[in-house]
Amino acid sequence: MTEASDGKRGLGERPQLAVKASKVDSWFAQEVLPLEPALLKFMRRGWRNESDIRDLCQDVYVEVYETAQREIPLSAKAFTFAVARNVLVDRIRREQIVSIEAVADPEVLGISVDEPGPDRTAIARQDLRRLQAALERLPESWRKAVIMRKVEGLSPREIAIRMGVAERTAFLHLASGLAMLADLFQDDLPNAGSKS
Amino acid sequence: MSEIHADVRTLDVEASAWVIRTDLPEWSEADQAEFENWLNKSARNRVAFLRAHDVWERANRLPALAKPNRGESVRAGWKRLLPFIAGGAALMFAVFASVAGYLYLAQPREAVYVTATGGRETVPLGDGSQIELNTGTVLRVGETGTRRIVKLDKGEAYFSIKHDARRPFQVFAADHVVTDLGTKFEIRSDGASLKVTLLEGRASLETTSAWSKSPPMLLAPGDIAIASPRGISLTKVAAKNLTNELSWRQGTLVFENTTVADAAAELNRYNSRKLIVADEAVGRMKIDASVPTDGVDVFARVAREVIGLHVETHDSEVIISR
Repeated sequence: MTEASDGKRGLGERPQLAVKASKVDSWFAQEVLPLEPALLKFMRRGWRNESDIRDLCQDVYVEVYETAQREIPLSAKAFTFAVARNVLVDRIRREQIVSIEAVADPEVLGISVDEPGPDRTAIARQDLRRLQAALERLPESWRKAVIMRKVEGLSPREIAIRMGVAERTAFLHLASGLAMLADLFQDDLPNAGSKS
Repeated sequence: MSEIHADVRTLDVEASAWVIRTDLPEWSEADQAEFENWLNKSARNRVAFLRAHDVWERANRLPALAKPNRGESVRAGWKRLLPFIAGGAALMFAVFASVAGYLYLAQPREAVYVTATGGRETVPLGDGSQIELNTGTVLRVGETGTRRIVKLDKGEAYFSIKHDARRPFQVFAADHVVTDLGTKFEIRSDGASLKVTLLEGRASLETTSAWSKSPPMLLAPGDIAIASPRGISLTKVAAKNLTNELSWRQGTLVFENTTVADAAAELNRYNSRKLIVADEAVGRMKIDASVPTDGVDVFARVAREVIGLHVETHDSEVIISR
C-alpha cells in the first residue's frame, strides 16, 4: 500500500502505468492502436464472420508487439497491415476458404500506408468526440460508473454507495464499461482509415 | 471459462479490471506482483492491457468536455454531463437490445450476466444446468468446491438445474436463499422482495437475514412464494397459469383476466418506450391477450381498434385513455 496516494488524482495529472511503460509499449500505444479503425475495416473486407474480427485484430496486435520487442519497425502502419494481410491469409488457408477479396491490398481499400496524419490538435478534438460518442453507447450503469470514476474521481466504493449496489458490482461495471468503451472507441467510424 | 456471452471479450474485461485497479489507492505490492505476473504471461495480455489503458487515459479529458470555463468546479462540470447521460440512455436501448457481459476476475471467480431492457439471455452452466435471464436482469454465477452459487441482484430468471446432492445449487436474492432439491423454478426480484415459482421437483426457501428465525419453507410444483422482509406468503396455482408466467421465454406475454394497468406495467419492463394508462377506469378493465414482449405498438393498436380506447403515440411513451 502506498501511503502517498489518496485515490483522487489531479485532473491534469495522467495516471502512471503500474509497470513502467517500455519503449515498445509507448510505440504500440502511439503508433499502432490508432490504426485499429482502419484495421477493423481491412479485416471486415476480407473476413465475413463478424464474431472473428476482434480476434483477428488481436492476433495482429500480438504479432506486431512481439516483432517490435526485437526491433521497432520503421513504419508502424505499413508493418501492421503487412501482418494483417498474413494473419488473414493464414486464417483463410486454415479454413480452406477461397476468397479473392481477402487478399486485397490495403491501398485498394483506400487505406493509404504512408499518408501523413492530420494535424495533432485536430486528432485530439476528434478523439474526444469519438470518446464521447462511445460513452453514450455504453449500457447505462456502465456509463454512469465510468463517468463517476473519471469525471467525479469517485472510488468504486463511493460509486457503489451512489448506485446502491455492492462494491464488487460497481467495480465490474467499471471494468466491463472500459472494455466496451475501448471497442466502441476504436470501431464504427464511418470514415475509418480514410483521409478526412 | 468456455462460454462467452458478450459483446465484450473476457480478456478485454480482465485487462480493463487491471487498468482500473492499478489506478486505485489500495494498490499493494502483492497486487503489483500479481499484475506483473499476469502482464508478462503473454503478449496477448500485455496488448489487451495497453489497449484498455490507452482509452482509460484518454478519458482523463472527459472533465474538459463537461467544463468549458477554467474557474468552474468539477461538480458543476459533472452537472453539465447529466443531460448527455440521460440522452445516451435512450440510444443505448436501441443499440443494445441485449447486452450480456461475461466477466471474469481474479478472485473469487464469479461471472456476471447482464441483460438490458427487452433483453433475454440463456446461460448454460458447465454441469448441464441452464439459466434463462429475462429483461433488465443482473445475475452473478460463482462456485466453491462444495456449492454452486447464483446471486440475482435484480430482474427475473428461469432455472433448470441438474441436481447434485454433493454440490447444492443455491440462489441468493433479496435477503433470501432458494436451495434446489432437483428443480425447475423461476425467481423474480426487485432487490427488496422476491417471487419464487416452482415448476418441477422441490426447493427450499429461507431467509438469510439475521433477524428472522423462521424455518426453511419447502416448495412443491405449482407453488408461488412471495418473500419480503415482512415474511413469506404462499399461493398454489394451476399448471396452465404457470405456463403463462413463463411465456416470456418464448418472447411472448400472456395475459388472462389481467387488468390493463397490470398488463401495461408488465410490458413496460421489456420496453424503453412506456405505456401510460392515463385513466383509472381504463386501468381496471380486464383483458385477455397474448402480446410479443416488444409489442407496445401491438398493444396500443388493440387498445384503439378492438377496445376502442383513445391512444396517443409519442417517441418515448404511448398514452392510453378513454
